[in-house]
This record gives sequence, C-alpha cells and structure tokens, in this order.
Amino acid sequence: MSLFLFMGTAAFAQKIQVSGTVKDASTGEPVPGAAIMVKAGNGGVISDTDGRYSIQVSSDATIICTCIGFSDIEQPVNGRAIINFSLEIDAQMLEETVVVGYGTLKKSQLVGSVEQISGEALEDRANANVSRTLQGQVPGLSIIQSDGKPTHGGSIYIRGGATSYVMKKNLNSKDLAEYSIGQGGSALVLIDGVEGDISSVNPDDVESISVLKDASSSAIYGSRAAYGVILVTTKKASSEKVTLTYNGSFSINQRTVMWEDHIISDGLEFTRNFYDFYLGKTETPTAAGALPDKMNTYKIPDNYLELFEARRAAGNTDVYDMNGNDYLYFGSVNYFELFYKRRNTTRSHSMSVNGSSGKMSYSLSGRYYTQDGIYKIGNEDYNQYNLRSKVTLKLRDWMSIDNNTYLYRVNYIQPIFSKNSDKVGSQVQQIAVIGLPVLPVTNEDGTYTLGGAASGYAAFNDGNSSQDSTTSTVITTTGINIEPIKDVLKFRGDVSYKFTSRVVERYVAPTPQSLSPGIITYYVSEADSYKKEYRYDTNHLSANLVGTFTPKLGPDHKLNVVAGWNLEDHKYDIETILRHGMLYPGLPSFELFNGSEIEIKQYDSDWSTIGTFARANYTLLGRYILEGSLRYDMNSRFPSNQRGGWFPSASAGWRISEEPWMKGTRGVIDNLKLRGNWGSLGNGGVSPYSFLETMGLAQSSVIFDGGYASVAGMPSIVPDSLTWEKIRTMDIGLDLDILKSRLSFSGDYYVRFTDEMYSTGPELPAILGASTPKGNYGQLTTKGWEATLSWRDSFKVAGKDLTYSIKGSLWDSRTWVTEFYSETNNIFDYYEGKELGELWGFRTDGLFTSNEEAAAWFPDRYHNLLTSTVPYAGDIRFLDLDDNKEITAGAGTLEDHGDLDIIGNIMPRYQYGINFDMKWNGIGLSVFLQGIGHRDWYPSEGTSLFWGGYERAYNFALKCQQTDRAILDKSTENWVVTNASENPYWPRRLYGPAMAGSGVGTMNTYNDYFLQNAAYLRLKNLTVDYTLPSNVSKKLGLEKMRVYLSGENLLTFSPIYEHTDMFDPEVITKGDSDFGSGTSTTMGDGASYPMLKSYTIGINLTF
Amino acid sequence: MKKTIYVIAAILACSCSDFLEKTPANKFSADTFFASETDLRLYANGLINTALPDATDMALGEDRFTDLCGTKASKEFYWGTYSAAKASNWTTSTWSFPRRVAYMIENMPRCKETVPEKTYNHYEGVARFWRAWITMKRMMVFGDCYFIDKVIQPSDTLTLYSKRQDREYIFHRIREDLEFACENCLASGDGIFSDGRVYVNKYVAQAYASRFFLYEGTYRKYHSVNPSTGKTWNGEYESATELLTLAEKYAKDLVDAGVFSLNKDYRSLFVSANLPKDEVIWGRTYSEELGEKHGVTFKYCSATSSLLYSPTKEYVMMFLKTDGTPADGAVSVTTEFTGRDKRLSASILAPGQTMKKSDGSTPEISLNWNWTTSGYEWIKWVQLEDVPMSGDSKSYNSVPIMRYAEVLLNYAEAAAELGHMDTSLWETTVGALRKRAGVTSRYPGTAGYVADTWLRNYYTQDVLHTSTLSDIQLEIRRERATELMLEGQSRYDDLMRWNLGDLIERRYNHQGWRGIYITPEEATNGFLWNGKKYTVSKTKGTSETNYKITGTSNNAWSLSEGTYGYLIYNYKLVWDDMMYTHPIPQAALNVNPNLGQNEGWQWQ
Repeated sequence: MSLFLFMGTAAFAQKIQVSGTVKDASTGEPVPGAAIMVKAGNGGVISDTDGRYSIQVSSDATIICTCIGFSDIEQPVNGRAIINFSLEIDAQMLEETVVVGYGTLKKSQLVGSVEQISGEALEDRANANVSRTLQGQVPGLSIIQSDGKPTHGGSIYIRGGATSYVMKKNLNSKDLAEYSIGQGGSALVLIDGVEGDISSVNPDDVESISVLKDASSSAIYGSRAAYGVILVTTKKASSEKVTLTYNGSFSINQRTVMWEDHIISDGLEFTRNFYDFYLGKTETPTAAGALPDKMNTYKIPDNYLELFEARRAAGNTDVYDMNGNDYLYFGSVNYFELFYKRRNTTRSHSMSVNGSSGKMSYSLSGRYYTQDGIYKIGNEDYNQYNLRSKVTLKLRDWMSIDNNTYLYRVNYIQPIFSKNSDKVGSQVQQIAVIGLPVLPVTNEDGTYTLGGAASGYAAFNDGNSSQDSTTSTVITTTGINIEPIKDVLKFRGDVSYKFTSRVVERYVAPTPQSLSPGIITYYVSEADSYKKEYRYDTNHLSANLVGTFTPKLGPDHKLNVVAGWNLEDHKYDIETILRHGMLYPGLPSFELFNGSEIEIKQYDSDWSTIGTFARANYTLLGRYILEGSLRYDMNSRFPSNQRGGWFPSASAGWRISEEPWMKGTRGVIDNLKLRGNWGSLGNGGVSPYSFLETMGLAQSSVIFDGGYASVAGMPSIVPDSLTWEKIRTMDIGLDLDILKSRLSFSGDYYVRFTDEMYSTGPELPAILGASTPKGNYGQLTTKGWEATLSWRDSFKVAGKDLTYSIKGSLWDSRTWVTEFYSETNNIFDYYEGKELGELWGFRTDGLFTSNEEAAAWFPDRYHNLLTSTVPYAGDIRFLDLDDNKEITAGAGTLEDHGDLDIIGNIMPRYQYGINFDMKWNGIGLSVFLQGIGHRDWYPSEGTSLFWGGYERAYNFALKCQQTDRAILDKSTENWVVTNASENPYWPRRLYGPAMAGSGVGTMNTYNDYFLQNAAYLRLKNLTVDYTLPSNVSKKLGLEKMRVYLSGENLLTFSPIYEHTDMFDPEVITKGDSDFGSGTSTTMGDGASYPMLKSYTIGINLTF
Repeated sequence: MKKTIYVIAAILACSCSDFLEKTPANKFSADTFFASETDLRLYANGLINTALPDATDMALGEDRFTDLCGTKASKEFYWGTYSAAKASNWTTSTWSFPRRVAYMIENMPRCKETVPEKTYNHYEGVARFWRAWITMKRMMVFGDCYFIDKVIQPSDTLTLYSKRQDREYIFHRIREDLEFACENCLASGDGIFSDGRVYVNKYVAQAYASRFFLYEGTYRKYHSVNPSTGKTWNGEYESATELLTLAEKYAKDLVDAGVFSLNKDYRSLFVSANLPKDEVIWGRTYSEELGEKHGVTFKYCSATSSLLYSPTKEYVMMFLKTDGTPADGAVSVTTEFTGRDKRLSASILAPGQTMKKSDGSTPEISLNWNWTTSGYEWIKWVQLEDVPMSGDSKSYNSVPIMRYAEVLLNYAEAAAELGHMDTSLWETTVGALRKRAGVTSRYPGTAGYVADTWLRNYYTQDVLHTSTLSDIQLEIRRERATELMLEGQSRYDDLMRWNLGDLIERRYNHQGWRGIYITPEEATNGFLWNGKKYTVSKTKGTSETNYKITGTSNNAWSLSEGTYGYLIYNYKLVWDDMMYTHPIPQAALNVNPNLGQNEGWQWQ
C-alpha cells in the first residue's frame, strides 16, 4: 500500500509554497480548523487558530478549502503564492432539494412535515427488501415486522396509522380477535410516481425516499393518502460520462433466537418434566395425581417413567422398544435441531450502467439476490431479480421524452406441512405439540413415527409438500416534458402501466406413518392430500398531467405553483383452484390428482379515481412561507352522489433566523424555522363494492338429489350513505440548525382526527334480521410527536480529516376512540375513551406461599383445576380491587369491570433510531441502533415458546422454567413453597387447562404478573468500510473501489429476556402470515419464520 | 401549445361517471335478480340450504330434555335459575331467515309476467311455507313475537321498535300462508318432488299444516291462557275447534292422495344411507361418498362428548306387549325386551343386538354403563357399525324430517280431539303403526282391550293441569311417544301443547330419571348381558360394567328400594308455567324496550 502512495506522490515535478488565511465571509472572522487540500491528491493542511495555512503544491494544481458548516471553495493555484479563502456559510443543507407531491421544493421553502433520506442510507445492508432497511430511519415512520422471512417486508405506517391489533375477544375466551377500527390503512407508497410495493424496489436504485407525514403535505394525493405518503425516487440517468458500477455481497445468517439451545431434549428429563406437569392435574392435598397414558396422542404404558429411569440406570440407550403391539420409544431428540440449520447464506450482485450521449441519457441497473433456506430438510430457496431501464431523449431544447421500465421477479419455495386442506399450521407449533424428544422421527425399518409424521418432519424430508410462490411485476412509465418557458413553466404528462402477477402453488403429499410394526397408516391420507393454486393479477393504469410554474419575481418573492390531473384505474383479480388426492408425490400437477371435485373460486376488486389538484408555495423575503393545496377527487368506491371530495390544506412557515433583527446571531443560529399546518384528507379505503346491493351464488351444503346445487342468498343491507373518512391533521414544527449547522434539531407535534370513521352504527332491534350496516360513524384521535437531534463535526487525526455525525430520532403517538357507538361499553371491544391497544387484566400480588394462605384468599373462577376451583400453594394471587371479597371480571363493561384494571398497552411506544457515522482516511464506520422504548406483551394462548409445560404437559420443556419456579413441599396437607424467599417466577407445575392451556386458567387470563416488557434496543447495523485512495483504484482501472464488512441485528437488549429466551422482541407478534389465519388459536406468538442476524462482506466497484 | 390545451381540456371533460362505475365480476346487482324461473329456484334452494333441519336438529333435538330421556345434566332452563339475562336466541341471526324469506316475497313479483302462473304460484307457496315455518318456530319459543311480512329497512323505526304481535294474530297469518302453500305448491315436477325428498312441495306443506294446526288447536284447547300475557284467549281469529278441523283436513288430504305409505322396517327409517321413499315426506340426505357426514352416532356412544342421553323406564313402559296389552315395569332388563312392540328394540339397545364391523364380523353389543344414566341406551339414530361409532362426524345415515307416520298420528289425534274417531280411522292410523310394530291393534272399548292404569296415572295424576282423557286419547299419546320420540322435538312439542310441561320436573317422584329395574337377586349377584356380567355396588368406581350407587344427592345413582329396585339418576328440575314461553333476552329488551317481557319472566 505504501508503495502505491509513494508512486502516487512522486509523479509531480514543480512545487511551490502557497499560504493565506481563511475567513468567514459573513463575519470576517478567521476560521480555524479548515482543511486545505490539493484536488484529487493526497494530504493537506489545517488552518491554525488565526485562520492561517501554508501548503506545498505543484504550481498548476487546484486547491480546495473545506470546513464543516461552510461551502467548499476551489481555487486554481496558477502559480500564486498567496491564496485567501472567504467561506460562505453552507446553505447546502437548506438548499437541498426535497421531493414533495408532484414536484420538488427547496428545503428552505418547506412548511410541511416531510423527511427525506438519501439512497446512501440504504447502502451496505444485505436485506432482501428496502423496508427492512428503512426501519427506524425516519421519525414517525413505523415499519412493523412480522417475522424474518425474506418475502415479508413488514407493514408500513406513518404516525401511528396502525389501528389494528390482535387481542383476546374477551377475558374468558381462548379465542383471539383482530381489533380493527375504521378503514385504517398503510401509507401510500409511490415509486417514481407509481403506486407500488416498497419491498420490490432494488435498494441500489434508490436516489431518495421522501416521507410525507402530515395532511398538508399529502393532501395533494387526495383520497389515497390518508395515512401518509412515501415517495421513492430512483436514480436518474446521469449526464456525465459512462459509469459502470458493481456491488456484490455475501452474508452468513444466523437465527437471532436458537430455540434448540433453550429446550430440554434429553428424553428422560423431558419425561420427568412431563409427569410433573401432568400429575399436577389431579393432585390435591388429599389425592395423588393420575398417571398419564398418553403424551398428546402418543400412547405410553402406565409405568413409562419407571421404565425409562430403569433403562437409564442400567445404561440401556436403546431408543426402540414395544408397548404391546405398538412401538414404544425412549429417544432424546431435539426436533429444532432436526429442522433448522445453524446458519444460512445470502448472496447479492448488482450492476448498473449510467451515462449519456448526445441527446440521450440512460441508466440500466439490475440486481440478483438469493438466500438459501434455514431448514436442514426440505427445499427452501429465495431468488429475487430486479431490472430497471431509464432513458431520456431530448427532442428539442424545450421538450424531452422519457421511459422508465422496471421488472421485478421473486420466487420463493418453502417446505410446508398441513393436515387439513387449506389449513397450514405454524412449523414451530407443530413441533410444540408432537415433537416430543422421546419420539425419534423414524422407526428402525425406516418408516416414519407419529412424531416424524405429525411434526412435519416427514413432509419436509420427503420434499413433496411445498409452497412455491412467484411474483412478477412490470411497470413502465412513459412521460413527456415540455418546458415552454425555461425554468419558469414546465409541463409533464405521463402514463404508467403496471402488471403484477402473483402465483402461489401449495401442495401437500400423503404422509405415511407406522405406529406398530408392519402397519402403515396415513397421517395425511391420499384423500386429504391436495394442491391449491392462488392467482392474483393486478392491472394498474395511471396517468398524470402536471404543470409547474416558477416565475422569477425578484429576490424577495419566490413562487412555486403546481397544478395537475391524475387518474388511477386498478383491477385486481383473484382465482383459486383446489383439488384433492395427490397420486404422484413429486409431480404436483392438477392432472395427476384424482379428487373428483375441483373447487374453483374467482373474485375481483376494482377501483378507480380521478382527481385534479393544485398547490402554491410562496416565500416572501426568504422568511415568510405560505402554502396551500387543494385536491378534488372522485372515487369509484362510493355511490355516485357521494363520489367526490375536496381536500384542502394550508401551511405557514416563518424562518425567524432570516429576520434582520436576528443578524447578530448568524454563525450561531444558522436556521430557525417555525412551521404550522393543517390539512384535510379523505380515506377512500373501503372495500370497493361496499355500497352496492349485490347477490352471489354459492354451492349448497345440503345434498339435492345426489349432488350439490347452486344457491342464491340475500343481499346485505347497504349503508344509506357511505363516504370518505375525513382525516384532519394539525401539526406544528420547529427546525433549528446552530453552531455552523453542526447541531440540528427538528421537532413536530401533531393531532390527527379521523372523523366520520367507517364503523358500526348504533345497534338496531334484532328483527331487522341483518347486521347493522357500517357507515360513517365514530371518531379516532391520535396525538403524537417526533424529534430529531443531530450533530456533525470533523477534526484531524494523524493529519487526516475525521468527520463524524450522530443523529438520534425519537417519536411517539397514542390513539383514542373519541366517538363510538357501543351499547354495552364492553371493555374488550371499542368504547368511547378507549386507548387503542389497552390491555385489561387482573392485578396480582405474587404467588401463594402455602395452601393455608391460598385458602384464606378471596374466591375466583380462574384457578380452574378441572372441576375444582381452589388455589393452592405456588398459585398466583389475584387482587380484589373492588373490595367485594371475590375476584371477578364483573360484567366486563366500563361501568362494571369488577377487579379488572388497565394493566398495560400492547402498542409500541417511544420508537427510536440512532445513527452514528464516521469517516477517516477512506475508512468508514457506521452504527445504527433501533428500538422501542415501551411495549407490553401478554403471551397469547398457544404461545408454546413462552408457556412451555404450563400450556400442555407434553410441550417444550423449557430450560428457563427449570430453576426459577415455585418448589413445593407436599409432605403435609398444607403444601408450602419451600423457596418462597427466592421469589420464584414460575408458579407450581400444573396441567395446562388450569394455567395457560385452552380454557380459563390463571396464566391465560390477562394479569400483570405475566405481562412482559417487550421494549428493546437493537444494534441493527454496524458497517466498517474502506475506500481505496482514488489514485490507487485508478491504477487498478477503477474509478472507485470500496470494501465493507457489515453486521445486521447483531445485538439486542430487552427486559423480555428476564423470563424467556425464546423470542426476538422485534417480531413478538402472531405467527407466519403465510399460513393459517393470523388470529387462529393454533398460532402462538413468535411461532414464525425466525429473524436472522447476518454478517456480510461486500464490495463496491465503480468503473 | 393551444392544441395541447384542447387535448387536456378534452381529457378532463371526458365522462368520468362511466369510468368510475365498478361492479364485482362474481356477483350480480340485486335489482336484476328474480327475472326468471331459474332465479326463483336458485333462491328457493338457498332457503332450503340454510333452513333445512339437519341431523343434529332431528336426532339431538329438544326431546333429549324431556320426561322420557335421562341426561347427566339438564339445561339451565330447568334449574330454576334461568332469567332474561341468561336468555339468548333473539339476535340478528334469529331474524335473518325471516328477512330472507320476506326478501323473496317482496321481490319475486318482478318475474310474475315471465314465469308461468302455476310455477310462480308454486314458488310463492314455497316462500310462504317457509314464512309460516320460521314464524311457527319462533312462536313456539317466545309466544307473542313477530310475523315478518316485509323487508325491514334500518330507517323503518316504526316497525323496528314496535311491540310484539299477539300470538293469535301471528298464527292467523301462519294459517293463511299454510293454506296458500297447500293450495298452490305443486305435487310433481323437476325440482319439486324428488327422490332426495328435499324440496318443499304440496305434500310437505300439507304435512306441516297438519302438524301446526294440531299444535295450535290442542294448545288453545288445553291451555286456558296465552302464556305470553297470562290472559285468556281472545278468540279474535280462530277457535281451537276450527284449528283442529284444519289439522284433520290437511292430514286427510295427504292420506287420501295415496302417495305415501308406511315403510315395512321401522328401524331402517333412521339408520339408512338412503331415505326410504315410501314414508319420508321431507328429509335430508347424507353421503359417505360426498363426505357429508354427521356425528349423531358418536354422540350417543360416548362417555364424554354428550350428556349421556338415555331412555327412561317410563318410556320403555309405554311400549305395549305384542298382544296389545300394557307391559309391567318391574322386570329385569335382560327379559323385558322379549314379546314387546318391535319399536322398543329398534330404539333402545336390547340383549342380542349385534353391530357390523368393517372386518365383516357382527359381534353382540355390550352395555356400556359409562354411556347411560338409566341403564338403557338409545340406538334409534345410531348406526351400529364400528366406524360411525368410533368418532365424531363419521355417521352417514340420512335423516327423515317429516314422516307419513306422523301425519297418520296427527290425523288420529285431531279426529279424536274432535270426537270423530272410529274403528276404521283407528285401523288406518294407529292400527297401521301397531301392525308394523308387530302389536295386535285393539281399539279402546272393543273386546280384548286392556286399559293401562299406569299410563292414565302418568298423564293425569299429580300434574298441574288435569284434564279428562279418554282411553283413545291416551292410546294416541302412547303411540306418539313410541313412534316419534327423539325425532326433533316431537315429545317436547306434545308436552307443551298438552299443557304437561310439568312432567319434565315430575319424572320419578320429582327425584330424577328412572332407569332399569334391578331385581333383588341381580342387586346381589349382578346380571348377565351378552355374556358379560354387570353389577351395582357402593364401592367400586363407575366402569363399563359397574354402577356406583352413591346415594340420593344430585348427579348420583340410587336404587328405588334401597338395595334393589329401579335405578334412579337423581337430578332435580324445576317447572313453572311461565316456562311455556322463553323469556325475551334482556339484551334485546335493552335495544327495544317495547318488546315487553313474557308473563312471569319479568320477575325472574
């Protein structure tokens, strides 16, 4: 390396000494610490405390003076010996161009709440999609991940737009319900102006991402923008010379939680654990517990534990034995280890060509991303391809046409397992219920055991049960730009067409098993085996005509007017085909099935909108900013008399720092801006045909003369009037840059009202005979704030510049139901005054330490041990808040909620992100931390990974439940907790239904004892990179060469680990959305595709 | 430039309204429906699909909770703790079918011009049959309720918040509908009268007319007051006699049509894959091949998934001996099935009964005392095959919903109540059923007839509302129980209309359900049943062959004579006359206080 450096500097001949001073142009003060360097060379000097410098350079060189907070100045030496620099305060940050609706504005002109991040922020992150990378980067933008699957990009919400969540239907129900109020909705994502999925964007294509957070900024998008807008702009064809870049990376991934390390897989120990929980079922101080004869459906003899103990004592490690005519096993299997690899890999290659020649500029970019599976068995494979081509052709000085065509294809194959058609369980849950360590997966003769078949091992291992999904998208936009008056009046018209095809093929082969020698039965029979194909086609057409008028009105007035017209036409078709009876596993063609019936379903969802809009932004004297926008939208989702809506917005800004009387603070306060805005939006997100009275046909379930018949039903009542939910936002904000823009602050406070919310109306007498139609009733109120603080500076280290920056963002929002029709004020439903996400439950006071103590306590129905309802030592104590000497939920209403109290809230609060960046001598370091400051989590029923044996005796024997638990002395009728002084966390061991299994037990009844704190802080990314000096890379024939090492999800800190080590707090919610229903009771929290931590090595080359 | 502006103006001015009209591809607009006969049929099929009683409705109906069927635990309705707050079945879904029917009646005139008059009238008859059927169903539960004769709109507050209508008015409207249906529904034609016995046609209408008119006729005769109001009948519309005359007429019409006859094999009516077409007027087909199965067999053969429904001694005693004379109760279960009405061993497990296994063998079935509260086991709906018995949703026996046998009994009872019964009518009706059951038919009053004192006492002694019953009436009541018990709510309806609801409380000395008789010898040494030994004892736990006699507390078995005698399953129930109607649920009253509460329930 030093050889290269030496050769690089040795090339110059005639050297002269140049000196001078560096001053601040606005104050005339000397500027110390400014760097004076030779352009495209190495080394440089720093100005001293008087602003003086001296440097030796060749006489024909160009020197550059740079200093943080000021604009760079270049001066050719031209043989001069004295060169002074007068630095202007860097207004670049303020003059930065920000992408806003249908145009751009200078940052100084901005009055709305808009946050823009550049594509650079997305670099070096080996994620399958942009949304994973974007998480935590933008205050107010919440990206909620459901799991780590590469196809899942998370849900994107701006400013607490997430109004739905999953919680119990009521305290005594085991079922969960999805709570969703109003039409809600995610942010509108526009990629180069076309509505799209942010996950499909090639991260390397991104020039900038602009997030329009408040109604005044997004009102120009009318009825589609109720919950904010994200504008993704891809890189433009550059007008410079041809450049070719290549980015390549290789990652090794590891699951963030290694389930296999936290469960007991020793068969004997597991069996003891199982007996412990099982015997608790019927054990009372006067009676012994009953012995089990089954572990789930696996039959064991009465003396199974004794047999196992005896074998172990005798050193007999044989796994196989017989129980009558049935197989009996004594295995020690860790099913997670059988299923999951410890690490997998990701590779990514992307290339782009960029340049211009004559009247044409172009860019072409492509990416290939592949990730292999996390399973040891079964084929899992993810492949993603992106290709974008952008061409601009200048036809005249005042006219150009352009085309932007994007191709995206992703194919994902994953092994699946399911018993009943169309119901695919979560893999983890399946292992929880039948992946008993004692059961090997195969018998000695190679056939599958019950565990092998029912856990899904057989299906995975045979490889004939899979889900193969392919999404292909083509988007092409053709536009024409006309500029009749240069820099003053511009028109653009464009038409985009998007076609997306998503095909999912799911097929499940018959699964044989053998429970006794020589007898093969089927866990999934041929009749139950099936193939189901889902086709989703989207055809989307959009057209825009936009005029921009920016007259030159002299230095005191700036005007930016945008007006236009927009049309969207969306067609969405869904078809499903189902056939049973797979005859040839491995050949899943519908034609090779023998089911006599083929079920076909087809439906569609079409909508269209037409809107006209205008916005004017006026800046007076560079300090008073006024902006107004208006849109008129018509939406096909509403009846013709309710179809149109006006969406106005107004904003004002005051750049106090530009006031003449603030002149004295220049250099300290560089920018101080106060912003305020108000906007009204419509949410047209109701399902397309909800106002139409329609009838459909269905197949009967009654047999008519030997077969089924078609039947028609009654149309549902359509709402009398149905129109937009109206969303009003008020926002005030402050931007402050001080100390030569080293320190910046930006903050916003907002209130959002969702009026005329689409919700259920007042209850009508039942003789109506139909559900009360939903209509525009109700109101939601959201209050929130966002703050960002950043610091950047530079100093010399070993003669080289070290620049660094640190930026922290924190944001929060809360939402209340402020108007709502509720007949009962049921606390588990919506009622006026409810805060979304609030959790009602019992307050508790530890565990009973003796039977005596438990018996003296107030009665409740939650210590529900089959028929008896008596608590014993080691059970949890509920508190009698209403002093009525019993523990009840009252009527479950706001007026009468017994001893229930709001014990927490499951909505994420205080979300934050911290970025740290540092560059020195070509070496870069960036650190990104992301987290949630407060979030309550109550593990739902079916969360085997948390409840373990308390849910089902044969469930996972969790290591974390072995020690920190109540240990009972049962030698007298008054059982006592012997380790009460240690304050054990887990209660006495007891059969599931009394605790966390199905039914009403103490653990699955919401209470503050088992409420978990799921806040977390995560080292999301850490990247170290090195850019070769340009003269070195040039020697290699490269413009630039950069290598980096990056780590994703490296460290996580969370209070959740206090009682469990089986969860990644970032993806704590319900299981895999690909399978089953998200609210199904068979799907526990966190039982989904694991999150991955990854280590990446990558290279960027520019030719 | 100008051109561009013109183009833009033209685009902006384009007819946006067409562009913004979107309709779903897989649905049709409701106002275009009811344009053809096909539409009528599709909609009428939808009514069948939604409302046709299923296997559970028929085989696991309200009869399980009557005097003749013991259970492990009864319904809270009979515990004396029931109240409006606990009541249900007055929700949107309760009233959605009436709305659906009203939607048809209101909108079908659109195709009056295009569909042949006869066809149109048939479908109007079908719709009105369903309206009568569903209203009757609600009226039998709540008494005064609503006759929904229009599609109620959410804005129609006058109707929505109206008071309940008087039972006599409601039944008058039901009468009009039934008469219209009997008059206009066709008896033959594709999709009208079929092998599947699934469509609503003239015969279904006539059969239900006979049932409903008999119900309301006897109800008015035996109840002095409208139970919803506690006030005497106002007689504004029909008298009891008028209703009984109508019941007799429609039963006779159907008998005279000569289309239906009694199937030779009583048991095959309930356990066959295919519905016996000679006797079944209306039914529901199940099919193993199509995977349309139900779980009825399993529900009667399981210790855990049902309430151990079991026939009582009283029920067994209602079956005559083959010579047509009454049987004695105090006999061993091992002998009492011999020489009896064939329907006894077709309905209740008898010694020697075999089952069919999939391996082809036919072993005898043993008693399982884990499955019964009385020592008797129901087999009326049970497919005695190993597969259906082994688990839920494995039965595939088709289910008769309305049988010709009931029409004969309706005919007989209406005639008897009107005093029209004679020997020839007796032989056509009750006599025919007894003949099929292998019992000598003896018309009361003729030579050889032996009056059943036990039966008379059962219906008349220690009951709240005594009435004078002739031997003919008693024999008809016996016949209804032996023939129709456990088919939906036949017995329950009979108790309600005869004003004998208190039999549900009374049962055996108000104590519980009475089961098999255990002789002193059997009490000591046990008895043999298909080679297996059965015992009763105070010590051993309940097992397949051993009863644990624990005393007279609730949910316990005792023996009527202490150490021997009838096996009693002790279970206290409560009856009060207000229970002839169910309470209007409090939740419904909260929404519409104008509903008012049924008599008696206001204070509960």
